[in-house]
Amino acid sequence: MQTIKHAIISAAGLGSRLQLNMPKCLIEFDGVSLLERQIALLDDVEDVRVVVGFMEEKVINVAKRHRKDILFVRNPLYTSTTNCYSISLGINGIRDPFMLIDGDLLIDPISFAKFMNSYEVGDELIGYTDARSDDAVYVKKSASEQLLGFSRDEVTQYEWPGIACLSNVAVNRDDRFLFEVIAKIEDVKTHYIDCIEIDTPDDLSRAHSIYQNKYKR
Amino acid sequence: METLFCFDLDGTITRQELLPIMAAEIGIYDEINTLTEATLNGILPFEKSFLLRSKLLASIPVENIQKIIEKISLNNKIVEFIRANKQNCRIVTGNLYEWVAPLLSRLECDYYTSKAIFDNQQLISVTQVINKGDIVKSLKSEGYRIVAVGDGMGDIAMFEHADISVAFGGVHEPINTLIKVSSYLTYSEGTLCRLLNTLS
Repeated sequence: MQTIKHAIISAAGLGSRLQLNMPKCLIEFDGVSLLERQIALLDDVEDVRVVVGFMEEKVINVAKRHRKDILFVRNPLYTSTTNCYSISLGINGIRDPFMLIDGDLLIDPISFAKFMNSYEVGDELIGYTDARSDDAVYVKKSASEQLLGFSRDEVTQYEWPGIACLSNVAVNRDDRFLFEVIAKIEDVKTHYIDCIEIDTPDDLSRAHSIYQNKYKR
Repeated sequence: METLFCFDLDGTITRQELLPIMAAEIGIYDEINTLTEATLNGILPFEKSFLLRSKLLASIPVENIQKIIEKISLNNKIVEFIRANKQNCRIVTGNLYEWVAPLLSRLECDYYTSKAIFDNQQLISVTQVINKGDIVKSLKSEGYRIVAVGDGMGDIAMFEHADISVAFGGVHEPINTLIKVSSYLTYSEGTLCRLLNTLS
């Protein structure tokens, strides 16, 4: 965990498919939001940045209650821009390796720690999890944990949840999807991480069930 | 392109708003503080409020004001950043040079202030209230990339014209209108300085 100095939580989006009229990162499990849970996971990271857009005041108020030294990066164009646009704002000026986390993830803390322990400086590392969300981007990987590619059509056992530790990767504001950017890099390592991405009402009810049966400990 | 960091002074570099502290000297702290709060919250336009507050404070000799100002505590990490990058930092303050001169000399960089006529230690009249937006526009026309740092209503014009702007909430909550025109927001002095170093 000491090796990554910068983490960017991407939490600007509308989350329109969930139809909750609230930022997805503020969805609560046992009264604790996804955002608070992610901030707690990043206790040892020196520079935590949260990219905000939709209902930014609410997101900022929750985040700053839990950690005073967060850098909030504003994406006022959140309705018309992609997640890559938010990420490009978030990583602006960072010269060291950085970690990216989608704000709509419920992550098992123990699994997160194992993921971070598997990271070595200089690696390009992505997380993969069990394929279960409604709109999965599937991960193809080798037995030796090398990334072989991503696919929306070719179903595999695992999906891309939007967690990565990167160093020599330029994410530009015009890029469409982060997985498309990562797919162009050579020698990307993979590691399992137990987490659930919440994009749709079905994802949310699945997340509640998994939280109760598994993560809540 | 060379980067120039433009800092507001009151409540950004200083840990307190200066005018209310000065007002305590003549027993009108509450009155000036109310006006300052109204200005920070965008209820009173900065220029009108500053002119009014200056009139109320005009009776204090400059020497006394400077003695008070000398004791004001500063955000030390920001001061360190400014001193370490003095060629690329500017203080852009609505305050009067004659009042804040002791602070400006501690910061060691160039500055822009409001202007006034003094006679024998007494403020006679404010002749020009600074327009921070005009300052930033002028610096940009010289070819600089501008990073602006501030917290209040008076900084909005500076933020609108800057290339990158940082709302700083280390002293008090930045006004919401300012946040809406900022690129970044932080409540931590250390985080602010780390960001500024990455933007150098």
